[in-house]
Amino acid sequence: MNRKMVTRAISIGGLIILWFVVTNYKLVNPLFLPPPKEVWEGAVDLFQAGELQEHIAVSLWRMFKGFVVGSFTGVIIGILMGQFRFFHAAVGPLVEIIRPVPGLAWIPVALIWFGIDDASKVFIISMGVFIAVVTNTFMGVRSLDPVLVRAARSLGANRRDIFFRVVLPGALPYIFTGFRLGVQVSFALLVAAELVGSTSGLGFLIQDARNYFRGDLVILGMAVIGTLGFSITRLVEIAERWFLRWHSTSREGAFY
Amino acid sequence: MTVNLQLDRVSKEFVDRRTKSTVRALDDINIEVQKGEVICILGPSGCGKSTLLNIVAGFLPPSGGEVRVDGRPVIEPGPDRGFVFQEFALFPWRTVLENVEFGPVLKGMEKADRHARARELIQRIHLTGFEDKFPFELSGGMKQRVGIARALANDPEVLLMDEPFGALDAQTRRVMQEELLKLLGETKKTVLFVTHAIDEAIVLADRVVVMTARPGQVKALLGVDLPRPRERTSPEFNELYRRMDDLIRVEVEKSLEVQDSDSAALGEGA
Repeated sequence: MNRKMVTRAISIGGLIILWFVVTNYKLVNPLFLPPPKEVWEGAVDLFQAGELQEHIAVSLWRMFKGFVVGSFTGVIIGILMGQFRFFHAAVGPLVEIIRPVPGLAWIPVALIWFGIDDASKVFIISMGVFIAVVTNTFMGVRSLDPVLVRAARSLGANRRDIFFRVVLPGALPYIFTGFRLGVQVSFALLVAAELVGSTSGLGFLIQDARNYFRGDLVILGMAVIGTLGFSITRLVEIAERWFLRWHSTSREGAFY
Repeated sequence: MTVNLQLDRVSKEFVDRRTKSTVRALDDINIEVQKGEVICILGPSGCGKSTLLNIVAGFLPPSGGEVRVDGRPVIEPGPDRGFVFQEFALFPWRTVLENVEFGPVLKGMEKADRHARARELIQRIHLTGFEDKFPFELSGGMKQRVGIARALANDPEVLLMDEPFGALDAQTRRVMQEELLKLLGETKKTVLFVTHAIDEAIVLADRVVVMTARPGQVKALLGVDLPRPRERTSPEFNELYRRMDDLIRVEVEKSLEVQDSDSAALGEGA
């Protein structure tokens, strides 16, 4: 247990204590902010009914699908844009036009196109992830030192070798930045999309609880989303540190 | 002795994008390198000596003339010509071993064979124990040792070295020169070595090509007939140094004048 982890525990513990104090001494209306105990009991009830797990599973599965679709297309199109001038000239402007459109603005369109089932959420999430990943991948390819390509060619590399053994690993630090941003974006978009048109998922849980004045379940939904987002971001960071162990700056942990 | 590398009336022109004028970088370069010979190309900065090496490597096409390796004309880069870069150009995501075995991997060599070859080369460059380190964990001198081993792993006909020790401090440079000579003594490679350091050329070369300022031409071809290892303090060494210094100095001054007239011309244009 190092100092950083102690500090973290104190800061999270402090927030919960503050929450307890504020609600216990009735400093705020419990309708606005229910006490921790109530939220905990609500969580236990929902868990025993099997609903909490189901909402979590549904949301994570949507996010996973959207993330895979968005990051896969983002990496491919980003590399093609970085490698081929023609492709960049043709596709670059489209990406530039899509980029400033906020992910949330896709929700109405997605609902019209795909209805309120999974496809619309997957579409919305994949749009947000795609933009984050395609931009960073493109920059990664462009920032590659051309001397490395010359070195590979002089060692006997053909186009295929250069693509898979030089361009792809060279762009990886940027691609991972895109993934990290993509995870954050996909959480925001998932919950927003579920708030608007959905009959399941964590966003629906919050919206549904609000309709029935169940402040405890609103807080619970938010806490679950926060915890999941934190955990998944950490998992991506762990993967990043393994894949980029050759990258001198990845060890400094500048993003923590 | 057989001719290994032939530069036949090689010339190179660039088009300046801003002024749309043609700049002649290299003019009618003729050099024949014997098998196992070490040739240093010495010249002032901007004389096109690196351009010349890039043409031999196949990175750049010549505007005129031809380069031949064992009689075969050069049209693209290939593993018969190993290249050592001033900026090392190691693949940062590959370990020392993985960098050295890059060429053999591309050739499809069996894992056991290429590991054995890489380990042997790593031992010869004194980096045993560093096989699994990444380039960012190495010093400049260590990086360039890996760069040389990586080029040698393909067992090339010719080794092309573009100011390979230019980015190293003076002490490391001297050590690297000695180690390179030892390696070359063992491998008998034909070497084309670009440098702007006169002492480096005299220490390493069998023959030194002195280039003129732009457009680069062969100004002089001097044999270095000193016994090895060469003593930098010997009178013969210093005599040769002085002769080359005189040749180069004129060209450096000329290249400064060219730069002045270039900037004057730009000034008028603007």
